[in-house]
Amino acid sequence: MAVVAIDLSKCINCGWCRRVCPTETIKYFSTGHRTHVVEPDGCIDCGICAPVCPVDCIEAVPDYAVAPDKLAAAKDKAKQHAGAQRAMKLERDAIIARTLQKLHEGVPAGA
Amino acid sequence: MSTFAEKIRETPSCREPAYRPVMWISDDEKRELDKKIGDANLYQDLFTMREMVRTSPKDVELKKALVSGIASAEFAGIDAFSRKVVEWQDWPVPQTLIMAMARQTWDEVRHAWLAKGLIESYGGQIGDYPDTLAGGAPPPGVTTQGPLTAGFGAQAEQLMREPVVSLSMTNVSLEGGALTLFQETSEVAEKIGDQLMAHCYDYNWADEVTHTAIGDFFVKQLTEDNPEEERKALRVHALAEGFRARLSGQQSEELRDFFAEEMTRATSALG
Repeated sequence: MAVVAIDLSKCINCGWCRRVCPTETIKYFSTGHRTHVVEPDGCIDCGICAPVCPVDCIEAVPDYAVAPDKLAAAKDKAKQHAGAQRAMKLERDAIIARTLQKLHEGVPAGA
Repeated sequence: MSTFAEKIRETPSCREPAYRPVMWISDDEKRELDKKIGDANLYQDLFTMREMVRTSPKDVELKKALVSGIASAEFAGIDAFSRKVVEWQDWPVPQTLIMAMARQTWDEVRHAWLAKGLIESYGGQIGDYPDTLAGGAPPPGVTTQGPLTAGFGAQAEQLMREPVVSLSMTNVSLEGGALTLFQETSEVAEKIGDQLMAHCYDYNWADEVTHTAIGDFFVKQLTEDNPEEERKALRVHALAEGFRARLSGQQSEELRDFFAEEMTRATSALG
Protein backbone atom coordinates (compact mmCIF):
# COMPACT_ATOMS: atom_id res chain seq x y z
CA MET A 1 0.00 0.00 0.00
CA ALA A 2 1.15 3.52 -0.77
CA VAL A 3 0.59 6.85 0.92
CA VAL A 4 0.82 10.27 -0.69
CA ALA A 5 3.09 13.28 -0.26
CA ILE A 6 2.80 16.88 -1.46
CA ASP A 7 5.56 18.53 -3.46
CA LEU A 8 5.74 21.88 -1.65
CA SER A 9 7.69 23.50 -4.46
CA LYS A 10 4.61 23.18 -6.69
CA CYS A 11 1.74 23.48 -4.17
CA ILE A 12 -0.33 26.69 -4.41
CA ASN A 13 -2.22 26.09 -1.12
CA CYS A 14 -5.65 26.05 -2.75
CA GLY A 15 -6.61 23.48 -0.12
CA TRP A 16 -8.75 21.36 -2.42
CA CYS A 17 -6.93 18.13 -1.44
CA ARG A 18 -7.39 18.93 2.25
CA ARG A 19 -11.09 19.62 1.84
CA VAL A 20 -11.74 16.30 0.07
CA CYS A 21 -9.51 14.12 2.26
CA PRO A 22 -11.88 11.68 4.03
CA THR A 23 -9.49 11.14 6.95
CA GLU A 24 -8.48 14.80 7.40
CA THR A 25 -4.87 13.74 7.23
CA ILE A 26 -3.78 16.59 4.96
CA LYS A 27 -2.80 19.33 7.40
CA TYR A 28 -2.39 23.06 6.88
CA PHE A 29 -3.59 25.16 9.80
CA SER A 30 -1.72 23.06 12.38
CA THR A 31 1.62 23.08 10.57
CA GLY A 32 2.54 26.52 11.86
CA HIS A 33 3.38 27.54 8.30
CA ARG A 34 1.44 28.04 5.12
CA THR A 35 2.21 24.56 3.85
CA HIS A 36 0.00 21.58 3.09
CA VAL A 37 1.49 18.44 4.55
CA VAL A 38 0.25 14.85 4.54
CA GLU A 39 0.44 12.98 7.84
CA PRO A 40 1.17 9.59 6.29
CA ASP A 41 -0.17 7.50 9.17
CA GLY A 42 -3.67 8.78 8.45
CA CYS A 43 -3.52 8.08 4.71
CA ILE A 44 -5.62 5.16 3.43
CA ASP A 45 -4.47 5.44 -0.19
CA CYS A 46 -8.01 6.23 -1.33
CA GLY A 47 -6.78 8.22 -4.34
CA ILE A 48 -9.25 11.09 -3.91
CA CYS A 49 -6.79 13.93 -3.40
CA ALA A 50 -4.36 13.52 -6.30
CA PRO A 51 -6.89 13.87 -9.16
CA VAL A 52 -8.30 17.16 -7.83
CA CYS A 53 -4.92 18.87 -7.44
CA PRO A 54 -4.84 21.62 -10.10
CA VAL A 55 -1.04 21.64 -10.25
CA ASP A 56 -0.42 17.89 -10.01
CA CYS A 57 1.78 18.13 -6.94
CA ILE A 58 0.52 15.05 -5.06
CA GLU A 59 2.61 11.97 -5.55
CA ALA A 60 2.55 8.42 -4.26
CA VAL A 61 5.14 7.25 -1.75
CA PRO A 62 4.98 3.54 -2.53
CA ASP A 63 7.20 2.09 0.13
CA TYR A 64 5.60 3.60 3.25
CA ALA A 65 3.85 1.09 5.50
CA VAL A 66 1.16 2.45 7.83
CA ALA A 67 0.89 0.48 11.08
CA PRO A 68 -2.25 -1.75 11.08
CA ASP A 69 -3.86 -0.07 14.11
CA LYS A 70 -3.37 3.40 12.61
CA LEU A 71 -4.69 2.26 9.26
CA ALA A 72 -7.78 0.80 10.95
CA ALA A 73 -8.36 4.06 12.83
CA ALA A 74 -7.99 6.07 9.62
CA LYS A 75 -10.43 3.80 7.79
CA ASP A 76 -12.95 4.24 10.62
CA LYS A 77 -12.62 8.00 10.24
CA ALA A 78 -13.17 7.70 6.50
CA LYS A 79 -16.34 5.67 7.13
CA GLN A 80 -17.66 8.36 9.47
CA HIS A 81 -16.80 11.01 6.88
CA ALA A 82 -18.62 9.09 4.16
CA GLY A 83 -21.66 8.69 6.43
CA ALA A 84 -21.76 12.41 7.20
CA GLN A 85 -21.37 13.29 3.52
CA ARG A 86 -24.17 10.92 2.57
CA ALA A 87 -26.46 12.35 5.26
CA MET A 88 -25.79 15.87 4.00
CA LYS A 89 -26.42 14.83 0.41
CA LEU A 90 -29.71 13.16 1.31
CA GLU A 91 -30.78 16.26 3.23
CA ARG A 92 -29.89 18.52 0.30
CA ASP A 93 -31.59 16.18 -2.21
CA ALA A 94 -34.76 16.27 -0.10
CA ILE A 95 -34.74 20.08 -0.03
CA ILE A 96 -34.20 20.21 -3.78
CA ALA A 97 -36.95 17.66 -4.46
CA ARG A 98 -39.41 19.60 -2.27
CA THR A 99 -38.49 22.90 -3.92
CA LEU A 100 -38.75 21.59 -7.47
CA GLN A 101 -42.01 19.87 -6.68
CA LYS A 102 -43.40 23.16 -5.41
CA LEU A 103 -41.95 25.05 -8.37
CA HIS A 104 -43.31 22.75 -11.02
CA GLU A 105 -46.62 22.17 -9.28
CA GLY A 106 -46.90 18.48 -8.96
CA VAL A 107 -44.25 17.48 -11.45
CA PRO A 108 -42.05 14.93 -9.65
CA ALA A 109 -38.49 16.16 -9.04
CA GLY A 110 -36.03 14.73 -11.51
CA ALA A 111 -38.52 14.65 -14.37
CA MET B 1 -1.62 58.23 0.20
CA SER B 2 -1.85 59.53 -3.35
CA THR B 3 -4.71 61.85 -4.25
CA PHE B 4 -5.95 59.37 -6.80
CA ALA B 5 -5.98 56.52 -4.26
CA GLU B 6 -7.85 58.73 -1.80
CA LYS B 7 -10.41 59.58 -4.45
CA ILE B 8 -10.86 55.91 -5.36
CA ARG B 9 -11.28 54.96 -1.71
CA GLU B 10 -14.05 57.51 -1.30
CA THR B 11 -15.80 56.40 -4.49
CA PRO B 12 -18.52 53.86 -3.69
CA SER B 13 -18.84 50.63 -5.64
CA CYS B 14 -21.42 51.02 -8.37
CA ARG B 15 -22.63 49.15 -11.42
CA GLU B 16 -25.20 49.39 -14.20
CA PRO B 17 -27.63 47.79 -13.45
CA ALA B 18 -27.01 48.70 -9.82
CA TYR B 19 -25.73 46.21 -7.24
CA ARG B 20 -28.67 44.50 -5.57
CA PRO B 21 -27.40 42.02 -2.92
CA VAL B 22 -30.02 39.36 -2.25
CA MET B 23 -29.76 39.78 1.51
CA TRP B 24 -31.17 43.30 1.19
CA ILE B 25 -33.90 42.90 -1.44
CA SER B 26 -37.50 43.77 -0.61
CA ASP B 27 -40.12 41.23 0.48
CA ASP B 28 -41.88 41.74 -2.85
CA GLU B 29 -38.75 40.83 -4.75
CA LYS B 30 -38.21 37.80 -2.49
CA ARG B 31 -41.68 36.62 -3.43
CA GLU B 32 -40.81 37.08 -7.12
CA LEU B 33 -37.68 35.01 -6.55
CA ASP B 34 -39.78 32.33 -4.82
CA LYS B 35 -41.93 32.11 -7.95
CA LYS B 36 -38.95 31.83 -10.28
CA ILE B 37 -36.81 29.27 -8.42
CA GLY B 38 -39.14 27.76 -5.84
CA ASP B 39 -37.47 29.16 -2.73
CA ALA B 40 -35.62 32.48 -2.50
CA ASN B 41 -33.69 31.21 0.52
CA LEU B 42 -31.82 28.71 -1.65
CA TYR B 43 -30.57 31.37 -4.03
CA GLN B 44 -27.48 32.28 -2.01
CA ASP B 45 -26.28 28.68 -1.91
CA LEU B 46 -24.70 28.19 -5.32
CA PHE B 47 -23.99 24.52 -4.62
CA THR B 48 -27.69 23.84 -4.07
CA MET B 49 -28.61 25.97 -7.10
CA ARG B 50 -26.23 23.89 -9.20
CA GLU B 51 -27.80 20.66 -7.97
CA MET B 52 -31.22 22.06 -8.87
CA VAL B 53 -29.98 22.69 -12.40
CA ARG B 54 -28.67 19.12 -12.56
CA THR B 55 -32.00 17.75 -11.34
CA SER B 56 -34.15 19.96 -13.55
CA PRO B 57 -32.00 20.73 -16.63
CA LYS B 58 -34.83 22.03 -18.78
CA ASP B 59 -35.76 24.81 -16.34
CA VAL B 60 -34.02 27.78 -17.93
CA GLU B 61 -34.80 30.08 -14.98
CA LEU B 62 -32.69 27.88 -12.70
CA LYS B 63 -29.80 28.16 -15.13
CA LYS B 64 -30.18 31.94 -15.28
CA ALA B 65 -30.24 32.07 -11.48
CA LEU B 66 -27.12 29.91 -11.13
CA VAL B 67 -25.11 31.90 -13.66
CA SER B 68 -26.36 35.24 -12.26
CA GLY B 69 -25.24 34.22 -8.77
CA ILE B 70 -21.73 33.41 -9.99
CA ALA B 71 -21.64 36.52 -12.21
CA SER B 72 -22.25 38.75 -9.20
CA ALA B 73 -18.93 37.54 -7.76
CA GLU B 74 -17.19 38.43 -11.01
CA PHE B 75 -18.52 41.99 -10.85
CA ALA B 76 -17.46 42.27 -7.21
CA GLY B 77 -14.05 40.96 -8.30
CA ILE B 78 -13.65 43.64 -10.98
CA ASP B 79 -14.38 46.29 -8.35
CA ALA B 80 -12.13 44.81 -5.68
CA PHE B 81 -9.07 44.01 -7.79
CA SER B 82 -9.09 47.27 -9.71
CA ARG B 83 -9.10 49.15 -6.40
CA LYS B 84 -6.05 47.19 -5.28
CA VAL B 85 -4.18 48.27 -8.42
CA VAL B 86 -4.53 51.86 -7.22
CA GLU B 87 -4.45 51.50 -3.44
CA TRP B 88 -1.48 49.14 -3.22
CA GLN B 89 0.78 51.60 -4.95
CA ASP B 90 1.04 53.17 -1.48
CA TRP B 91 2.23 49.91 0.08
CA PRO B 92 5.77 48.51 0.06
CA VAL B 93 4.90 45.77 -2.42
CA PRO B 94 6.65 44.71 -5.63
CA GLN B 95 5.43 46.32 -8.83
CA THR B 96 4.87 42.81 -10.18
CA LEU B 97 2.10 42.38 -7.59
CA ILE B 98 0.39 45.55 -8.81
CA MET B 99 0.62 44.23 -12.37
CA ALA B 100 -0.75 40.86 -11.24
CA MET B 101 -3.78 42.64 -9.76
CA ALA B 102 -4.27 44.50 -13.06
CA ARG B 103 -4.16 41.19 -14.92
CA GLN B 104 -6.62 39.71 -12.44
CA THR B 105 -9.01 42.63 -12.95
CA TRP B 106 -8.97 41.91 -16.66
CA ASP B 107 -9.59 38.21 -16.00
CA GLU B 108 -12.66 39.09 -13.93
CA VAL B 109 -13.89 41.36 -16.73
CA ARG B 110 -13.65 38.43 -19.16
CA HIS B 111 -15.50 36.19 -16.70
CA ALA B 112 -18.25 38.80 -16.43
CA TRP B 113 -18.50 38.97 -20.23
CA LEU B 114 -18.74 35.18 -20.41
CA ALA B 115 -21.48 35.19 -17.76
CA LYS B 116 -23.34 37.96 -19.57
CA GLY B 117 -23.20 36.01 -22.85
CA LEU B 118 -24.30 32.81 -21.14
CA ILE B 119 -27.28 34.48 -19.44
CA GLU B 120 -28.25 36.11 -22.74
CA SER B 121 -28.09 32.71 -24.45
CA TYR B 122 -30.80 31.63 -21.98
CA GLY B 123 -32.91 34.65 -22.94
CA GLY B 124 -32.11 36.66 -19.82
CA GLN B 125 -29.87 39.55 -18.87
CA ILE B 126 -27.68 40.75 -16.04
CA GLY B 127 -29.95 42.20 -13.35
CA ASP B 128 -32.79 39.68 -13.81
CA TYR B 129 -31.61 38.14 -10.55
CA PRO B 130 -30.17 39.86 -7.48
CA ASP B 131 -26.51 39.52 -6.54
CA THR B 132 -25.59 36.65 -4.24
CA LEU B 133 -22.47 38.28 -2.88
CA ALA B 134 -21.47 41.64 -1.52
CA GLY B 135 -21.23 44.57 -3.86
CA GLY B 136 -22.38 48.08 -3.27
CA ALA B 137 -23.12 49.60 0.08
CA PRO B 138 -25.70 48.09 2.45
CA PRO B 139 -28.83 50.09 3.24
CA PRO B 140 -28.50 52.54 6.17
CA GLY B 141 -28.31 50.81 9.53
CA VAL B 142 -27.21 47.45 8.09
CA THR B 143 -23.83 46.13 9.12
CA THR B 144 -22.24 43.26 7.23
CA GLN B 145 -20.92 40.28 9.15
CA GLY B 146 -18.46 38.58 6.84
CA PRO B 147 -15.65 36.30 7.99
CA LEU B 148 -13.19 39.09 8.56
CA THR B 149 -15.68 41.18 10.54
CA ALA B 150 -16.44 38.12 12.66
CA GLY B 151 -12.76 37.60 13.41
CA PHE B 152 -11.41 41.13 13.65
CA GLY B 153 -14.44 43.29 14.44
CA ALA B 154 -14.06 46.98 13.74
CA GLN B 155 -10.49 46.50 12.46
CA ALA B 156 -11.72 44.36 9.55
CA GLU B 157 -12.09 47.10 6.98
CA GLN B 158 -8.63 48.50 7.63
CA LEU B 159 -7.10 45.01 7.69
CA MET B 160 -8.62 44.08 4.34
CA ARG B 161 -6.57 46.86 2.75
CA GLU B 162 -3.36 45.09 3.76
CA PRO B 163 -1.93 43.09 0.86
CA VAL B 164 -1.09 39.99 2.94
CA VAL B 165 -4.58 39.86 4.46
CA SER B 166 -6.37 40.57 1.21
CA LEU B 167 -4.33 38.09 -0.83
CA SER B 168 -4.71 35.35 1.75
CA MET B 169 -8.46 35.93 2.06
CA THR B 170 -9.40 36.55 -1.57
CA ASN B 171 -6.81 34.93 -3.80
CA VAL B 172 -5.79 31.91 -1.78
CA SER B 173 -8.88 31.03 0.26
CA LEU B 174 -11.84 32.27 -1.79
CA GLU B 175 -10.38 31.70 -5.26
CA GLY B 176 -8.96 28.37 -4.05
CA GLY B 177 -12.47 27.41 -2.95
CA ALA B 178 -13.94 28.62 -6.24
CA LEU B 179 -11.92 25.94 -8.03
CA THR B 180 -14.31 23.35 -6.63
CA LEU B 181 -17.38 25.36 -7.64
CA PHE B 182 -16.22 25.86 -11.23
CA GLN B 183 -15.00 22.30 -11.75
CA GLU B 184 -18.22 20.79 -10.40
CA THR B 185 -20.42 23.27 -12.30
CA SER B 186 -18.60 22.37 -15.50
CA GLU B 187 -19.19 18.67 -14.76
CA VAL B 188 -22.91 19.28 -14.20
CA ALA B 189 -23.06 21.28 -17.45
CA GLU B 190 -21.41 18.40 -19.34
CA LYS B 191 -23.83 15.97 -17.77
CA ILE B 192 -26.91 17.93 -18.85
CA GLY B 193 -25.46 18.58 -22.31
CA ASP B 194 -24.95 22.34 -21.89
CA GLN B 195 -21.64 22.68 -23.74
CA LEU B 196 -21.59 26.47 -23.59
CA MET B 197 -21.93 26.50 -19.81
CA ALA B 198 -19.26 23.81 -19.49
CA HIS B 199 -16.89 25.76 -21.72
CA CYS B 200 -17.39 29.01 -19.76
CA TYR B 201 -16.66 27.43 -16.40
CA ASP B 202 -13.68 25.46 -17.70
CA TYR B 203 -12.28 28.81 -18.80
CA ASN B 204 -12.98 30.43 -15.42
CA TRP B 205 -11.48 27.45 -13.60
CA ALA B 206 -8.18 27.81 -15.43
CA ASP B 207 -7.98 31.48 -14.43
CA GLU B 208 -8.75 30.67 -10.79
CA VAL B 209 -5.77 28.33 -10.66
CA THR B 210 -3.60 31.23 -11.77
CA HIS B 211 -5.22 33.61 -9.26
CA THR B 212 -4.64 31.18 -6.41
CA ALA B 213 -1.04 30.70 -7.52
CA ILE B 214 -0.54 34.48 -7.74
CA GLY B 215 -1.93 34.92 -4.22
CA ASP B 216 0.13 32.12 -2.74
CA PHE B 217 3.32 33.30 -4.44
CA PHE B 218 3.02 36.86 -3.14
CA VAL B 219 1.85 35.89 0.35
CA LYS B 220 4.98 33.73 0.58
CA GLN B 221 7.12 36.59 -0.66
CA LEU B 222 5.57 39.21 1.63
CA THR B 223 5.69 37.02 4.75
CA GLU B 224 9.17 35.61 4.23
CA ASP B 225 11.17 35.68 7.47
CA ASN B 226 8.19 37.25 9.23
CA PRO B 227 6.40 34.61 11.34
CA GLU B 228 3.86 37.12 12.68
CA GLU B 229 2.74 38.09 9.19
CA GLU B 230 2.66 34.44 8.13
CA ARG B 231 0.47 33.65 11.15
CA LYS B 232 -1.81 36.52 10.21
CA ALA B 233 -2.16 35.12 6.69
CA LEU B 234 -2.99 31.71 8.13
CA ARG B 235 -5.52 33.23 10.55
CA VAL B 236 -7.30 35.07 7.74
CA HIS B 237 -7.35 31.91 5.62
CA ALA B 238 -8.81 30.00 8.59
CA LEU B 239 -11.52 32.62 9.10
CA ALA B 240 -12.59 32.44 5.46
CA GLU B 241 -12.49 28.67 5.49
CA GLY B 242 -14.36 28.51 8.81
CA PHE B 243 -17.06 30.78 7.42
CA ARG B 244 -17.48 28.56 4.37
CA ALA B 245 -17.33 25.38 6.47
CA ARG B 246 -20.11 26.62 8.75
CA LEU B 247 -22.29 27.33 5.71
CA SER B 248 -21.75 23.81 4.41
CA GLY B 249 -21.92 22.22 7.87
CA GLN B 250 -18.42 20.78 7.53
CA GLN B 251 -15.69 22.00 9.81
CA SER B 252 -12.56 19.89 10.21
CA GLU B 253 -11.05 18.97 13.55
CA GLU B 254 -7.90 20.78 12.48
CA LEU B 255 -9.78 24.03 11.91
CA ARG B 256 -11.56 23.73 15.27
CA ASP B 257 -8.19 23.13 16.97
CA PHE B 258 -6.72 26.14 15.17
CA PHE B 259 -9.46 28.45 16.46
CA ALA B 260 -9.04 27.01 19.97
CA GLU B 261 -5.31 27.74 19.80
CA GLU B 262 -6.01 31.25 18.55
CA MET B 263 -8.33 31.80 21.51
CA THR B 264 -5.61 30.60 23.90
CA ARG B 265 -3.09 32.95 22.29
CA ALA B 266 -5.48 35.88 22.52
CA THR B 267 -6.24 35.13 26.17
CA SER B 268 -2.52 34.89 27.00
CA ALA B 269 -1.85 38.17 25.25
CA LEU B 270 -4.45 39.82 27.45
CA GLY B 271 -2.51 38.54 30.48
